[in-house]
Amino acid sequence: MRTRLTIAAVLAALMLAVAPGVANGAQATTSTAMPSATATRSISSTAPYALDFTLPTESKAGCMVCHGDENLTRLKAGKTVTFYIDGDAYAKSIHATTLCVGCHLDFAYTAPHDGTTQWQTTAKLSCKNCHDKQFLAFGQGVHRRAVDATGAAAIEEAKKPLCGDCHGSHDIMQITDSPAGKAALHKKGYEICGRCHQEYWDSYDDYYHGAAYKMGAEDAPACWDCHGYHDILASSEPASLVNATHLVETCGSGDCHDQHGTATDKFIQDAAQMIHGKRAVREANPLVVFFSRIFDGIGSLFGG
Amino acid sequence: MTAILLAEVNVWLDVIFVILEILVFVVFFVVHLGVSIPTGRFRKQWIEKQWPKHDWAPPALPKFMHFQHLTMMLLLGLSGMYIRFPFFEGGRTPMRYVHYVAMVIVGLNFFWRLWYAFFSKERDWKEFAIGKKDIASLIGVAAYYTYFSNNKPHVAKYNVMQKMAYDLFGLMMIAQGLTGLALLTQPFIFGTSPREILIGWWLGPLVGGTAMAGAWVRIVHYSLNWLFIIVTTVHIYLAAGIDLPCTLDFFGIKKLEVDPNAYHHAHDDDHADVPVHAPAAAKAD
Repeated sequence: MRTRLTIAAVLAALMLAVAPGVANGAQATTSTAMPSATATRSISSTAPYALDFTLPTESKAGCMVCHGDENLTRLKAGKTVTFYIDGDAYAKSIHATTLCVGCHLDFAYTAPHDGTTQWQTTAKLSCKNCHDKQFLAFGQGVHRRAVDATGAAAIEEAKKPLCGDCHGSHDIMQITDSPAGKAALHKKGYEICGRCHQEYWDSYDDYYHGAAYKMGAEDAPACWDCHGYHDILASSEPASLVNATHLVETCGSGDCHDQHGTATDKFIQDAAQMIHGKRAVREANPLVVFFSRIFDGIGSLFGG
Repeated sequence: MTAILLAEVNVWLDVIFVILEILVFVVFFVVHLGVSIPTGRFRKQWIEKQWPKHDWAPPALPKFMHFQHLTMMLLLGLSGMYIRFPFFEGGRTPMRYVHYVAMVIVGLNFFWRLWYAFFSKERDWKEFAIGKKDIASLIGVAAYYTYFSNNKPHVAKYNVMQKMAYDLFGLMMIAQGLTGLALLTQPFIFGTSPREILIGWWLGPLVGGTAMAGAWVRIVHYSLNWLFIIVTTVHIYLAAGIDLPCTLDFFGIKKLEVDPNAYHHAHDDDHADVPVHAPAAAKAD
């Protein structure tokens, strides 16, 4: 007990030491080493930390005393889960001056903080408090959650992404007027959309869009360049950007196929079919099928 | 049905040209080379070193231009294939620049070759002109290359099939250049793109718009790229397999031996294969 009290005192002293800088609006820099403390793993919910501490200030530096330590991990269902926050990445993010509790609204100043995962949902949705316009658009899209769902439907609703699932969290970069942020976002098609929509990610491999995008082509469209983002809708919805009625408008926008209005309805329909359809056409090609069977047969001879 | 046509055509082209290239490779590098063994040509050329004689060796400039042109064509083919089938990370923009730069150099090469053929001191355009004598020799030349005859009719520096191949190559370059330019959509003159200038006004209305015309021209451009690859595959086989010394000379590996009387022998118009059992004195070199 005495040892734990000593640790608490050391932690409190460290927090007090780093708090004034943050309170004065100073930003963390990459050259400043984050204070850290030796991580202590929670034993179980019945034997938690005896440490009920109160932060001297609502400062991220205070949280980083523990979360700036790469060894801050926890064993959950046989898996090691890290609770480490990369201070350098956070300092470079657009939210570098935002306090931790600005997003972790339900932080209870206890350790371990909460046995549930509700804090994740809270954090991933906290964006709406500042980005209300985007959140309103999100509410119009296919990813909005039905609040009155129950049972199996509620489970399905809970699988839908929240802001943080697509945008990330501590390392989120500025997008508006930031080429680096835009470029970083542009590369994340799989992380943002593909890992949930695997089938569409796999079929996005036509010659000049998908195949190029997956090989890092800067001018090849990411998923949201065609499908939209916050208020994204299923293509069957008439208001969807990729609904057949909007394809000329969508594909002809920006620097894509806006060749003085020469991208006609016929061209767009044909090209759009190829974007997610070329893979199916290739797999159905009789010669491809024929040779695939031959190669598979040869492979099976060698135990393939 | 109509909507999927573009994807169908593109996939069929991929499949057919890959198969065609493999077939051409096998036909020449396996079948044709293989048949040369029982017919005695392989032994005559590769073992007894009886290669065709020449009364002229190409000067340094055409040789350099050939080497440089070959390099640029390889870069064009490689970068073109990359643009369609990206096979490494982050290469889209660099490979496009490679394609554009190589295209300009190849274009300059083309105009240089025209100047060389018609206005230079060499003025060798007649070497590529196909006349009545060439046409008359076509069957004989084809028979020689298909092992039906051991006599190759000799009318000029290049035989009629060579002339046809080289002339075809020139025509393909013009077509490839024009179709390549027609793929450019950036504003060029008075805000109008090369695509609109070259194909938009006439092909566009026929196929459903300028962009659609661009899609079909891209198909032609891609097909021509494969034809270049196929023709070059045959060219490499024939250059190395029929006239290795000339090929080595072109790449600066070994100087070509020039015989002023190379074509002035008993069979003035025919190059007969020397029988394998011919006396040593009758052999070349």
